[in-house]
Amino acid sequence: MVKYKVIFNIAFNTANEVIFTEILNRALYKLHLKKRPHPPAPPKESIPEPVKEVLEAEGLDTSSVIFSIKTDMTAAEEYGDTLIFFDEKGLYRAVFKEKELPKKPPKRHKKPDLKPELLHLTAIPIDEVDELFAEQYLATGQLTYTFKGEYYSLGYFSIGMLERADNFRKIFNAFKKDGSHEQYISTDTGNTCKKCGAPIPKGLSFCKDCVDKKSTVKRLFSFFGEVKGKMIFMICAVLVSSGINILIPQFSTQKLYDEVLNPDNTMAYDDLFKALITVVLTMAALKISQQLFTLFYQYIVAGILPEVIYGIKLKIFKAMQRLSVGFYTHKQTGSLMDRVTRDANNIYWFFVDGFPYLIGNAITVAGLLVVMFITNYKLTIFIVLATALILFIYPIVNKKFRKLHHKVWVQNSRLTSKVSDNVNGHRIIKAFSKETDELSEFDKISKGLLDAEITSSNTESTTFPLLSIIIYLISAIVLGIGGVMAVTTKEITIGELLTFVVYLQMLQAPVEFLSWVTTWWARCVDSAQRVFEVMDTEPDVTDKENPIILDDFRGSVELKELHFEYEPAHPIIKNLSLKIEAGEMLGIVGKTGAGKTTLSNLIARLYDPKEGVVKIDGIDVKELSSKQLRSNIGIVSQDIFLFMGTIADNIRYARPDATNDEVIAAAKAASAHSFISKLPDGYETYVGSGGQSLSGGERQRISIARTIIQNPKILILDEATAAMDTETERNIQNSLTKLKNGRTTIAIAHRLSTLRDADKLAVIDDGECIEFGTYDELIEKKGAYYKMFKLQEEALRFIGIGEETDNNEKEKEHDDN
Amino acid sequence: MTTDKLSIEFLNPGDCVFSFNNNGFLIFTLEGNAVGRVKLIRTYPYTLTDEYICVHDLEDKEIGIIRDLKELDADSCENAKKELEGRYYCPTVTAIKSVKERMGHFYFQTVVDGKEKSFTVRDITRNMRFANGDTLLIFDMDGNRYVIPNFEKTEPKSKRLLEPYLY
Repeated sequence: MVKYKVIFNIAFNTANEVIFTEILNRALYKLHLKKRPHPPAPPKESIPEPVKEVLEAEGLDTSSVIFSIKTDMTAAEEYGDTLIFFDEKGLYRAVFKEKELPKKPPKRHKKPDLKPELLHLTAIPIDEVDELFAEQYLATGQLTYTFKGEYYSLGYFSIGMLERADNFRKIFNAFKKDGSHEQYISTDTGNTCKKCGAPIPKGLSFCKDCVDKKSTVKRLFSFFGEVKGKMIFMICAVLVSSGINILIPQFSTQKLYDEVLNPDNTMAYDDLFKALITVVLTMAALKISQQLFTLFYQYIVAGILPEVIYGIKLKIFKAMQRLSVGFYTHKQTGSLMDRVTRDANNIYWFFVDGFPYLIGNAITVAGLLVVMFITNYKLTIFIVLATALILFIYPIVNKKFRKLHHKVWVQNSRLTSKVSDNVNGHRIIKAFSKETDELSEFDKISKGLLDAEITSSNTESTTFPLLSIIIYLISAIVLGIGGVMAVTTKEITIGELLTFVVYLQMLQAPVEFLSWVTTWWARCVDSAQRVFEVMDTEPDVTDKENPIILDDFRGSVELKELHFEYEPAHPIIKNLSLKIEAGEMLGIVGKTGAGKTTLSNLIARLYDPKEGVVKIDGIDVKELSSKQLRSNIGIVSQDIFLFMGTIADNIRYARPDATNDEVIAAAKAASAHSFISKLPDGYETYVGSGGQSLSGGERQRISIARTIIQNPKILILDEATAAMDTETERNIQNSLTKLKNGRTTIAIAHRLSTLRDADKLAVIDDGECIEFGTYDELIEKKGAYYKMFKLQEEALRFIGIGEETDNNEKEKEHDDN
Repeated sequence: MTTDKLSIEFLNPGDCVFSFNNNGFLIFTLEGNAVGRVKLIRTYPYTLTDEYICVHDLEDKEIGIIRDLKELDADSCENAKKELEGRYYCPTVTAIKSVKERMGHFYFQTVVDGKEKSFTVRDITRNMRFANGDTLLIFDMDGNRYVIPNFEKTEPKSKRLLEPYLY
């Protein structure tokens, strides 16, 4: 029985708790203190229930629909709701009447009419569709299909939906081809807000309705956690400093007028003099102690803030190192630099210039109002009303100024860009003798800045005096009312009245500050949010929880049915498969833009393929530790990047513990030693931004030495010598030959002569491997490689290189055989 | 090098015929030979909308350039223009109702082709720029493109809302 009682009590209490929570939540929703949770998001491409009802009324079985997409256009230039879907029987297009938003929100008890109105439904038998295509135009796109070689239109969409339309195309074509569409259908509901469940648009990392400024603030202040003690000291010092500031008029102005300068004063001269000295000394003592406390808090601020900002910058930089290459290609470098510098500085300046003054001014305003209220509540009420008026006017004025300042900033940026453009392109400007044109363009931009600055200055110079007049008027009114009070009702002494006026003046600056600090604070929180966005971004390429670490990294590479695209509907790699054994050399040839460099990025797992696998030593690279993978892959590319630092630092970049002997040995192997030793500062020559300028060939040789020191098992040479002259190329080729020994080498090249040692050759065209085999096999095949080979041979002959090239010899040998 | 050596060869307008097939696709016939579906590309999309038009096949290989669509026969000219208008259609923003910034993102409430539309723009100074003189382009976060053809003639409120961000 007792047992049942306990169960009953628990159940009763739980039920009570549930009811209470429900009532509380309803009240909070009603008062807009809590946001109603969003219904759980359906899978991204599922048909909404009301639409299903309409379609079923037309005799369609929606449960058999394999995939669907909702597009936003009904015709080439017409927006509207269209649903495109397919099942085993056919491909369908349903056009709905676009819903017009009601001008007034519907009444609470009246449910809005959610039933969509079907305008027309097109059904195409599945056998009458051969293949689907997603075509891209300027701002729109079109889904088309072919049947017996004829094209037909399926529907239009706005360009923002291209990725979804292309996904639909892919799924439909896979279904038609061999029923392998399941692998492409994702049950992913997209990115949804963890708090309200609403879908978050692509590219946003937060829900705009739920973004919690409080949590950002909390997180922002968490940076100050390590300096909590110092912060408490700082706040105490600000409190004392502001408190003393409020007391100064009480002990100076009021005492001076009421106790010393009062005409009714009957004190003896000596006593009067003593009282005056006391007032003066008190005034001085208070001011000195206030200044000391101010100095104290400023000293603490100067100490802790650089430390905190250093921490923030370090965290952003650390997060940036963690992110995938894709993040850098999508975000402009300038925007990223902004996050490390400008956003961190926005936070810095708010805390240096804003935060202590915010505390100080808030305390000053509160303290002043309290003291004033005690002195004379009637005058204080008037002042509170006047302050409210100022607090109302200032934000309006600030908003106007902010826009004007932004305009000046924009014009200034244009001017800076122009100057930078001019400086960087000075040789071209001189060569084309375009100085006058450049000057007139500069003049035009400069005039734009001038106009913006004049408008801004004029507005400021007229607005501020107007605002000052309002404040002086309030002071005059206070003085007038106070004067009447002092003379008639004696409610206030002259000293109190003058103290009041001093307080009023003291109130002006803090009120002004408080009226615009909110904007500053909002900007600081915005910056913090952007900083947190970088910190919170998950890299696209991540290691599995327990990645495989190979004991013996041999370096065999296998690409299996690889598909990849940077942008939707623009495939770069299409169904590419090839295999190279450890220690072999693979030569990849093909036209510019054929997807050769993308291939090397995929092998190094800088990106993950959309479909297919990249295997190293028979294991999917996604299973391997990316640290081990990348330390065993060396890339020498056409884009050479040298970091700021000495040549030796750059060579030992991959292995900082490399000895000086190893650095020189690597440079010798890369044919770089001879030119480095001739430089006045030798291996300690400073290179990179602002350093010694080196030629392309010299920089390339340093980058090869850097790879030699790394000692990778897989070496990727991506057009390493494409931009070099023949002699430099020959030198670098010799260095590379030494480097290739004992490693798997993947060499990407335009010039076929550089691939003469390759064990296997792959010809890539438009993302596909159209030929694969040994040199002999490809020459014998007389296919694409043979054509390229012949073309280059003719070109060499045409420019007068008469000697028999190695390739030529090789071909002869082949012919003889 | 003299400039007259820089002359290019255009397609002979008399040999070019553009027509729409029954499915609404543009079909090209060159010198009496049916080429099939083609893509038309404007080389100067803002200033010379009907001149220097590239004709590409579906594999994106250039067949040739038409100097001026006016040189074609009336039907072909009309068909080519219609095709280009479809390909280069861009939603026109007729009014900006509000622009609100939140966390570095700009939320636009606009009227596009007579209908209310809202979209979000990130990195506003880069994603809102003049294309040619007075044509303002706006790119939203989804990759959609909107145009304000005559910015100077736009209603004052819209201009006032956008001006602070124009670079």
